Amino acid sequence: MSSSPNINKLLKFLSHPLTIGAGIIAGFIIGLYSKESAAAIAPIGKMYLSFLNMCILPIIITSIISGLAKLIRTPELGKKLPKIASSFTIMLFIPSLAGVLAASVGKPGKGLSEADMDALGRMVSEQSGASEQGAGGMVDFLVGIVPWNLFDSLSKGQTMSIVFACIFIGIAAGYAKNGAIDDMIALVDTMGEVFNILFNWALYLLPIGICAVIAEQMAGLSLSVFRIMFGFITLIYLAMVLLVMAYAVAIWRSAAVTFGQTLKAMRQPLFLAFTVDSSFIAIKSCLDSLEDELGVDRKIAALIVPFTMVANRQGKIFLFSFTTMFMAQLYGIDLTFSHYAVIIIGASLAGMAAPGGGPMLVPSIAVILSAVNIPIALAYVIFTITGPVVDRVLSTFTVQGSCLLATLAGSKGPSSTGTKEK
Amino acid sequence: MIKNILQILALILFTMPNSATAATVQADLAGIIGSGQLKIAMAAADLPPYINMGQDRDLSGREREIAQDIAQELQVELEIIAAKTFSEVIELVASGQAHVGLSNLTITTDRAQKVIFTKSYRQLGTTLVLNRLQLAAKGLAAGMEHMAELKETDGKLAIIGGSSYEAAARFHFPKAELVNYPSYRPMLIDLAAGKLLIAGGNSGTINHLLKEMPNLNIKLQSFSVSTRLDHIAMAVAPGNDHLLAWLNSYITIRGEKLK
Repeated sequence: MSSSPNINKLLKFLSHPLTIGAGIIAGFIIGLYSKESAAAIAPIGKMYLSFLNMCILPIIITSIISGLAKLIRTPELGKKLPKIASSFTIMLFIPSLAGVLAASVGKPGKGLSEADMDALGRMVSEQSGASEQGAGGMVDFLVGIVPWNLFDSLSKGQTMSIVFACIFIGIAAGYAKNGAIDDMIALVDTMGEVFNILFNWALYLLPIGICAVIAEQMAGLSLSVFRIMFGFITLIYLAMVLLVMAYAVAIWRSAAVTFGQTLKAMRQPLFLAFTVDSSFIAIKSCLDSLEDELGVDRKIAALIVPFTMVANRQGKIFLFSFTTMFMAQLYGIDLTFSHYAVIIIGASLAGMAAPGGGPMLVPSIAVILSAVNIPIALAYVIFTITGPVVDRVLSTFTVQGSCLLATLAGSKGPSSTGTKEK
Repeated sequence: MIKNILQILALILFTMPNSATAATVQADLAGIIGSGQLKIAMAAADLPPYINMGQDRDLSGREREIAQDIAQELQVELEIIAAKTFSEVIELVASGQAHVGLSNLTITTDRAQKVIFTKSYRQLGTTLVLNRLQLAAKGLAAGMEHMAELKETDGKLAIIGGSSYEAAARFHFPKAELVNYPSYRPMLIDLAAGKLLIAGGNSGTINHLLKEMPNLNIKLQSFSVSTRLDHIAMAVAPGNDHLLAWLNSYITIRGEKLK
């Protein structure tokens, strides 16, 4: 399809980082200084996010089915599987260790002022009743992950169940002997391509969409939260920056590119995850960056990235160990060696597939808190008030973790791109 | 003739005992008004918002305001007799040392054997407060649905000494170690410090203090005991029917303002 030069200019302008940056700044200004305007443009942001979500689920489905079917039909998987499994397992524990370390060094739960404790106490009191939710965790996760009805899961957007089903469909397609299976995989690829095109079109409207989304979020944000939880929020951001950079170094060492190229490749997926506060919406961008700029086998990436974003949520794992440490400090609980072990293992297992964000995470972290004898109620308050601020940076870290796993498993090595630093 | 009339009048007076009693009550109420002084017994306790005890042990708060209002209505001077406990308030009234007991008193059958209560001017729920850390450590949970397990606890349970909650605590928590406190404030502070497992008392004061010291909510969890409602009333000595009737009228007129 040919397009006029004017349209090309417009599209180039809309996709320019400065234009997107201007959209973000405009969103901040509108949200902070004109709540009425933020409310007026909020529907645009909602429509935009819905459209991105509409595209991303088919992309996840087609990527996994096609990627896995192709992978099964090549001898690569047998060789890659041990490395994928070991990398996956090791990476479960890195964020939980980092969370314990960050809280031990920063001590965010110590020395809160009386005014801050009063404010927290008021919030605990206001939400009493909703606080004592039962613990969820691994059992609930395992029970919930198997879809009772795939079409029901699709209609409800139950991503975990959909990914679970797609993995099995992909494996089955890989082993199918029917001669028409290639046509089916080609059809799946074509459907994926259609939604990729739609998604790319939607990205041209990112400056407008992100302006509306951020304006609405800023308008609803209570600035007093920053004061009360300043140490908690600051430490999480600091730790996330360090971890994202550490993972960038690991990606660089695994991929056949320079460090600068690594940062450039990761720029868009991380930026997208941070601005729209969703790791899933960054999946398409991750797959493109991994294949085009980091030389990762698309089949491997198409399997690893969506799967790890569902079942190796690096950000949530960090949040769980860090928050448990924060609460132990606030309650003055002296942790023993076995407590630390429980926190690290518990956060890895409970956080790896914890659904949702904000207060929805309480049932998942309740398992760890109960094991360390920490009351659950405060977790509800912490997640409720800090969620709008910290969830986006945690999603960004999850994206970086998924890309690192995909690079470790699917990097084609120096010969593929020929851009390795000499 | 005059002798016959006097005999008939004497017969009427002897066959109308109610009229005779009324004369006594009128004398009692009239006695208060005549002496120009109303003696009201009040527990010297920190029971906000109902009774606040200042540093020099002077009493203020909602009950003091009501006492002042009653004295003003009767156009007499008010004398507050400070009692050490709520039980002592009842004793002071029963022994005639005070005209009225006004101290956020709960109507109980035991107390009603010694004094006569006015109609209730306030209803208060009972609140149990628990230390969240100790609950988590003992694997217990708060709430009416967990009362059966809580009643089996052998932990320390705090109540206000000499209050109506003492007997209730002994009955419902037979295994718990009861600890008496003079007022709610130190009780809640000790509970938050982990020296106690449970504390119980009137919902009005506990909720007031948890709002006044909101940071305690981080360590404490409270819930209302829906099966118990305390009826708060004033107490007068037996036989003071007119004073009792006057106070009931006062309660009817003031209504919601006394709550």
